[in-house]
Amino acid sequence: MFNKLKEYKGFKFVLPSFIGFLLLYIVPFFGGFKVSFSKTAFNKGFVGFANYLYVLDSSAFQLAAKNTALFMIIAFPLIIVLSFFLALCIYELNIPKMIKLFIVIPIAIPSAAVAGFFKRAFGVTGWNLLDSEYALFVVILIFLWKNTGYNLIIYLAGMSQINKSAIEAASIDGANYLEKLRYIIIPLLTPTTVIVGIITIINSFKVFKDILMIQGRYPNPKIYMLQHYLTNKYLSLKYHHLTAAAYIFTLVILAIVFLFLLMDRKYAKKVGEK
Amino acid sequence: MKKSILSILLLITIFITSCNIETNSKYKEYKEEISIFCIDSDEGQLNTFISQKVLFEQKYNIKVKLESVEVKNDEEYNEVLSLMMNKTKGPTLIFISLGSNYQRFLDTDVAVKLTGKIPNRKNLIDTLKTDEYFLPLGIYYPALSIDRKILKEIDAKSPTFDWTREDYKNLREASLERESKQLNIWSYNEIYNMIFKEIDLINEKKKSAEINTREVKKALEEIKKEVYSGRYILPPDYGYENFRNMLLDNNSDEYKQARKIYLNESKEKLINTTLVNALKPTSNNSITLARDKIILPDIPNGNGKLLVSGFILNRNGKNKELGLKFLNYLLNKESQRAILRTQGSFIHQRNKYLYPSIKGVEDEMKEIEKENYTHQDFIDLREYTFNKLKKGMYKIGNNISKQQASILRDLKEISIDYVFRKKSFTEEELTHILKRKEDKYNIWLNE
Repeated sequence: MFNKLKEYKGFKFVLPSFIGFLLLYIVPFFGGFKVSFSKTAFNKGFVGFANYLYVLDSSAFQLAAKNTALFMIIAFPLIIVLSFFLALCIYELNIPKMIKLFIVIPIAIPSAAVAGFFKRAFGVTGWNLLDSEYALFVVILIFLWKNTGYNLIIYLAGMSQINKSAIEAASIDGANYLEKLRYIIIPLLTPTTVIVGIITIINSFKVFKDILMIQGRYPNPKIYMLQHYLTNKYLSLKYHHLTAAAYIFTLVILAIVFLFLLMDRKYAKKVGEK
Repeated sequence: MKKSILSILLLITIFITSCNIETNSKYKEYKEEISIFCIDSDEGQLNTFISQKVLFEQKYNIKVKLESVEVKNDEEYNEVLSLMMNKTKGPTLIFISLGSNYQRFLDTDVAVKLTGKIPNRKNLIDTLKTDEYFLPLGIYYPALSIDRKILKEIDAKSPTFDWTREDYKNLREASLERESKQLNIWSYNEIYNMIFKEIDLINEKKKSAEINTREVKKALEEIKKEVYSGRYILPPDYGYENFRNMLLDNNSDEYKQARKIYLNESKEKLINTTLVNALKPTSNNSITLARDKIILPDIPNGNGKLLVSGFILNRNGKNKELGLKFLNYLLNKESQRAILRTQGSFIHQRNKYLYPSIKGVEDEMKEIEKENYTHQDFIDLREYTFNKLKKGMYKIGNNISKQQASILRDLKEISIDYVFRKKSFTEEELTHILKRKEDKYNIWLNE
């Protein structure tokens, strides 16, 4: 009996947080389904997929989806490679603590300060890129600057878990550094990469907050993201469009996360596996 | 000790319960209840409107409750609305104050279609029947005044009720020729509106904004020319920042200073805005007013827009049937006559000068005019405006598109930069700024 209780101890710790998550996220999430099939949030008349079709047909939604996808395609691999590379440098070269601190510190800087700095540096008073064709690169820069440190910590934790004997064995077998990296370190870090990937996706949506602070609800069309569309729909009380767009968005995100998990299952290796 | 504490507690409980019973009994007098949602600042206006509320409550044994909320801005208003309208038994009616935009209630389907549900709706002035989701109860059409003395000085012909924008422009020109005007937020707005009102900034068909155009650039240049034409007195020591403050920031010292001058100057203006309702110009000083001023209806499609005030029935409101009954009651001749009879002690209280929204109260209006010894010019003005309204010449002007209003605000700010910045805009710079705004509105229009 006591042992059985011990088994559920972990769940008990998670329970308060889970209840909060359930009540504040999961229940409203499913509650929104009804609204997405209703005429409006205030008129519950069933309209089928009309709201979904409206959203998909909206040129603003298409623009937002295109920009968000482009941002993810460029920023996502970039931050994974960059944070992995920096983590590897720190891990292998024993870099001074001061430099480590500089890499990690952007996590602690408030968004308003970040937005203020980037607005000054890349707005009309600086290089004026935010109003140009290249505004997306500024957003990517903000994203990299703010989130690399966070990913780097996760990678460093992952690296410290690698069984050193496997690397030593490879050295004895005559493997050079690149071979060790390719055949041992990267495969052993696949689960960490999956975690970093999922966290990166979540953090990538937070970049909207910075854009909102820099350019408001209607920014340069090059950096008009899906969250802009959702926020504007919320502020104009068009919850029926908002929920429809949110479910489309969620489906895409779930598909990406599912792909990551598949990748983890396929490529993750443990020491001793071939 | 324990016993005494217990007996005190018991006494307190009995006291509180008995109080509640007594208080509740007051409400129990009413069989049922409806509620009206409004912003607290509109409460005064609403009370004028529903002066017949008590009579209705007594006649039908229905309580009419006000649910007023305090909001600071549009976003806050939307949040409150969202909360109130999402309730299964939300407020029965939503009050729309004079000139307020009610488009959001139509867009979000909060408003219930009223056609066929209110028998007295047939009494509405035909022009006002066009909106099936909104029930207008009081109407207002702005009037302008022309100073007779100045008109004589400039030797201009008196304009008639059917004056046009061209007549307005000519008079304005003549008045400026006579005497330079102080540049301030009001005179700047006048220049800005006169030039920009004639430009279509939104292409409704294409759902696109037309801001980065030759027309807009030309308009900006025209404003600059007009400001520096010598017909306006510009504060000599003012730089770009001062002008921006004066024209955009109501809390700035520059604004306050300009306001002081304006208040003195406005007494001697050729054309002045009034708070007279051209449909009910029953001011008790009409004889004095008519001696010094010519009162004209504002020009349609310019600033002249018919402003209405009334109610929307909330789809998720409690006791909707009773709400309809209340609206029907407010539309009967007696209630509408009460609106007609309501007059404020100050002409500034526009709501007290509302004209009823139903037909068949003209005779009553004539009686009021007689009682007030209304000047014939004012009677003529009312008759002219009412005939125009009956013919459908005036459209309800409450629902100006949000985008249109926002574009005009943005362009005004750009125009101030364009006119007062020390270093002139290059063509490339101006194109870039206007393009940026155009992009913004193109997204907004297509969301």
